Amino acid sequence: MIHADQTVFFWINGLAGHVSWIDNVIRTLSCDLFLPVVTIIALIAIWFSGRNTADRIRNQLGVMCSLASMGIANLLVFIFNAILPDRLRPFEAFPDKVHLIFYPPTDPSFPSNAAAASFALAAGIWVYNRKLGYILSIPAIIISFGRVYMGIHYPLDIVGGFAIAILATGIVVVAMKLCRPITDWLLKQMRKAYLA
Amino acid sequence: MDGYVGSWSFVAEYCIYVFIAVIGMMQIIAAKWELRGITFFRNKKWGYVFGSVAIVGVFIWFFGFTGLNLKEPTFDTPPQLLWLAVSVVLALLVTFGLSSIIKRRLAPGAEPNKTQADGIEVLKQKTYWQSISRFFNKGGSR
Repeated sequence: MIHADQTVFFWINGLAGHVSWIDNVIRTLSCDLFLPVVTIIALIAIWFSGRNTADRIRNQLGVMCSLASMGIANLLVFIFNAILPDRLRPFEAFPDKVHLIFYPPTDPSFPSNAAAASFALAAGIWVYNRKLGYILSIPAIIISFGRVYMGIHYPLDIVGGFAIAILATGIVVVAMKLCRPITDWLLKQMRKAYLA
Repeated sequence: MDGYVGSWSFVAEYCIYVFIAVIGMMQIIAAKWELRGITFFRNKKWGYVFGSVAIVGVFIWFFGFTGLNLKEPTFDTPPQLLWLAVSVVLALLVTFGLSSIIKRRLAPGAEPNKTQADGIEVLKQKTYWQSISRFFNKGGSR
């Protein structure tokens, strides 16, 4: 499995370093400052959107689920990093073979925090609105591909991040069902303040 | 954090980037859902134009015309989330405040029916300030 992981990694990372404008585009799209911000702005748009009150409430529950899933996903990555043996980043394990076109992160390679957070944002919305969930998974896929392309993650790290995102969303969905009166109360208070 | 990305200049530019992008998105949303109370413009076409130009412009500025170098480390997650949240809240406050001033003469139309007159829907007829004032004038109950 590790061998297959490395083979796929070198196939994708082998594409980097040939055309500088493609590298620049992927570096920009995959950094922490572009698509995460786009996603947050999209969540704000989703919060205020809806054909009617019921539609809007569904979207707002989706945004709450999405943000909570991202928080839980980050926490789970932190826990996994603490208990799992550190996996070296590709550019550390193969310094002479990897095309590193991004700054070298210092945290463990597995699981990918960026993939976990971005897929968790998409999955949280997907639970309440399938179409928007698929749309928000596009940035997550771009970020994940970009991280492998840039030489800072193996594909298996991305799969691990994706699995954590699904687990985190599952936890949040169950918690939101159990705490439905609290989320309803919260939305009611925000409606009173004209914010929901 | 050292160098440019650890500097206050970078933090300020990041906050301006998020702030303007959110303001732009709020104008597009206000135009799309006809939330007249939080638009800066009478004609919703201008809301779309302003929002699109603000978002595209600020992205081009931030990634093309600041000292940002993506080959150097940027924020850690906690400070990034903090400044993101601060910028988003500020952008929402400015949107609500500025639209309340610009649209202060917005004459509330016919009172929306009971099912519509809830939460954000109220902003189709009133500015945020008018809505909040109505809430407090009624002693906090609706």
